Amino acid sequence: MSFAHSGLAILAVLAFPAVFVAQRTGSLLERRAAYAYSNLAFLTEALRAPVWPGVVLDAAGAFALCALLLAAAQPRYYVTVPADATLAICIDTSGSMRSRDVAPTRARAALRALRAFVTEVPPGTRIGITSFAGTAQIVAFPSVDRNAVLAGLASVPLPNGQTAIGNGLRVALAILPASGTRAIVLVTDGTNNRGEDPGGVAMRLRSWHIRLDVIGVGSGPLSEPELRRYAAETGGSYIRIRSATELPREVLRAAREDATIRKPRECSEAFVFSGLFLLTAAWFAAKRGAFLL
Amino acid sequence: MTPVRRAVLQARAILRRHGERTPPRDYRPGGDTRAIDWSASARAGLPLMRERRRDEPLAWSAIVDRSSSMDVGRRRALAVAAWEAVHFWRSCADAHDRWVELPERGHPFGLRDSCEVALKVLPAHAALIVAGDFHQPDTLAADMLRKLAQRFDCTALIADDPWRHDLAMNGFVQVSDIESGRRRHFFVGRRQRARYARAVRARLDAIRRLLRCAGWRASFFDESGGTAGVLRAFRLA
Repeated sequence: MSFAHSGLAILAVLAFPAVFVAQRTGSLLERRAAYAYSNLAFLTEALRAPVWPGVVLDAAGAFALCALLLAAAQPRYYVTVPADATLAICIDTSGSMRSRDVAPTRARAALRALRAFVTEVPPGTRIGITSFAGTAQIVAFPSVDRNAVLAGLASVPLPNGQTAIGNGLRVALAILPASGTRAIVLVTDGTNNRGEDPGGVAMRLRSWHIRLDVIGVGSGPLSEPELRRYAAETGGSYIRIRSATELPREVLRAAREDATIRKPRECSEAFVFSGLFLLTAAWFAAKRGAFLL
Repeated sequence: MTPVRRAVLQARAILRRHGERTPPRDYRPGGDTRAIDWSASARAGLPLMRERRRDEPLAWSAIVDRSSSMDVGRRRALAVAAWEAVHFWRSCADAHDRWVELPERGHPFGLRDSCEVALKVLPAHAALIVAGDFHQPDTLAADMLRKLAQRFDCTALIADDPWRHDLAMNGFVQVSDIESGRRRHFFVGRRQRARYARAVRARLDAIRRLLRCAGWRASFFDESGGTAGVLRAFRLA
């Protein structure tokens, strides 16, 4: 939760104890509405009255004023809503993806995780697939049809060849639309050793406000600093996965981040209503016993 | 003769009988044993005799609780009923009797202070009435009450609690002390009301017991009128 006028919110929070103490000592709200009794000490002893009614009423009054002040500070909370997003999954199909350090192989584990990813992405999000080894190719164009995307994943080429990360990113970039929320999920296990410089493509992604999430797979040699930098430049994240169990979880997290956006929603009304409700209740309670009569 | 007039005369007769007594003096061996003042002897712990002396004017005095705690009541303030009792008390006095009101008008009220003044200014055997709510009975120590009862004919009119039978509060209520202005919230339900009625009864009984043990005549009055309280005290009602 955040506030449009944070100064006012701080003032409201500070006002609560001040108002509460003022209520306890002077009863700001109910100076007029009180029964006159000849001996308060006797009444207290006779009723064996607990302290809580006074504390509750004073706290309610203080809370009410605090809530109204907070309402004036325009409180906002954030909700995660599906974005009108297009995601391009860019899969490394170089020969090193045959390695078995991630069971059964890096490539098959990645594909399994990506299938889960596709089913978990909020509906309405378009997903496209590209793959790269020595060269890059389009496996499936962006589509909201999950079956088409899953069929595309089934036709990803078998691991073979070198690693042209730059080319893969450029092809992924090519299938993305010109506007809207766009992201590329790069799944790779190696260092770029062929084709275009990935740094240049990452700069282009940045300028076009396209997020790049990088998932590094396996325990082999990986140009981790570079991949981390590319992700950071575009506002994305870098995740290194060394086991098959980690892979689906991290891929899903990346999917949720890419396919959803956090939208602020103002909730001043709730504060106003709760403040007025507490104020009214405290006022009624402070009137001559009218609360439960 | 109206009932009130008759009551006045009866009360006066009772007080005269009390007032005729002189201060008891020590019993001397061989004295008339019929003249022994048994109640005074019991209080003093040694045999005392009394002598009768007639035709002396009686001093009447009233101490009325003027504190603001007497300004409460359901229909009217208890203070009004207390003053009504005092007027009735005063009407019992003859024209040649002496009347002393304590504390004097304009002076701040304090029950203990007024009693101390009474001990100083009132002659022995004066008819003294104290009307108040006795909310602070500890201010009137038993020894002070006993001293007053030994010296004067003492009657106490205790203000009954206006809410004794039905505490007119329900739910969350804020109550202010009429004297100190201090405020406090209470939750009052059926259980609390019953508890209150028991506590009030216990308090009034304790005050009456304290006064009677000290040799006072004690009765209650409520906001409906103080005269009835005086009559009850003299068993005339």
